[in-house]
Amino acid sequence: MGMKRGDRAMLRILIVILMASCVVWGIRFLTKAPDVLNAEIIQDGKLLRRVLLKKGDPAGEFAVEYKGGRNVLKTEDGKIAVIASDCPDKDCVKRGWLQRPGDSAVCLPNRLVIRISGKTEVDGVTW
Amino acid sequence: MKLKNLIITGSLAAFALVFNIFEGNLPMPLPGIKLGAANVFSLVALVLLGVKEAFAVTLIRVFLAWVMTGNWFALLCSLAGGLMSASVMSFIYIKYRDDFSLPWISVAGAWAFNAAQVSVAAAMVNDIRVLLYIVPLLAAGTAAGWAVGWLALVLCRRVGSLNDADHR
Repeated sequence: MGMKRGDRAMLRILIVILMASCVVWGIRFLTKAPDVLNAEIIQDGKLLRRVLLKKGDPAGEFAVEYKGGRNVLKTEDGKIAVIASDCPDKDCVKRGWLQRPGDSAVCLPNRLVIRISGKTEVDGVTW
Repeated sequence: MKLKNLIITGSLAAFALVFNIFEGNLPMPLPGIKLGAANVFSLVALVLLGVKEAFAVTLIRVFLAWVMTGNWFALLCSLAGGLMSASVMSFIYIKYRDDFSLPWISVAGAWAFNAAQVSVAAAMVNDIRVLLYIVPLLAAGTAAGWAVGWLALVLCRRVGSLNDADHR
């Protein structure tokens, strides 16, 4: 069964998208992650808090609540992860550690996004 | 003939539901990725019966899966994704059938599903950057969608011969 005209067009579109994102992803992977990162905790589109992540940090935990929902986040050694959630899917927990700029985890039921910001400067503290 | 269509539609929806619930228990490498095996039956309905029946199979399956799991967020994602994917696949199948093979029509459906999925997610958490998550979804969706479409093609060839006998 050979590929038809439309099939080939779709394949070409896919290859372009994947190649472009492979380049972006490759650059991100090859550049060494800075020692100090910013994790943004965003709830319902609003920045709730910003957490500094440093290499060698001791483990710490905090909870984020949303209308009866609750996520427990853990930070350690420059990484952050959701370790517990009361949502049905637990996708955010399965996501595991976030440790590079651009990494993110999402919890839909609790309207929560955790994203490591690309910016490496530490707001105000760099001065 | 009408009754027969009704019965086939119902059976396909039942099969789709079973596959939907079964694959919900399979571990997946990334959140939001799934086989979409239930889509085999929507595709078979589209090819053997028609657009109406394909939508019926999709909607019945999504609704019953929600009744059985009670997962609101899965319902929203599947409903948006299922409707999008059924629309795109029906459109291509009706208008451009000669230019696309069934596996790739299924891939188009998977892409549409992924697009709806990330849109729902982005709207829910109110953060547009979530849309970027479509890239890994597209990669997985293409592979899964192709496999699903191929299965549907095989199924249509086997079951289709029964149906053709009636038309002649």
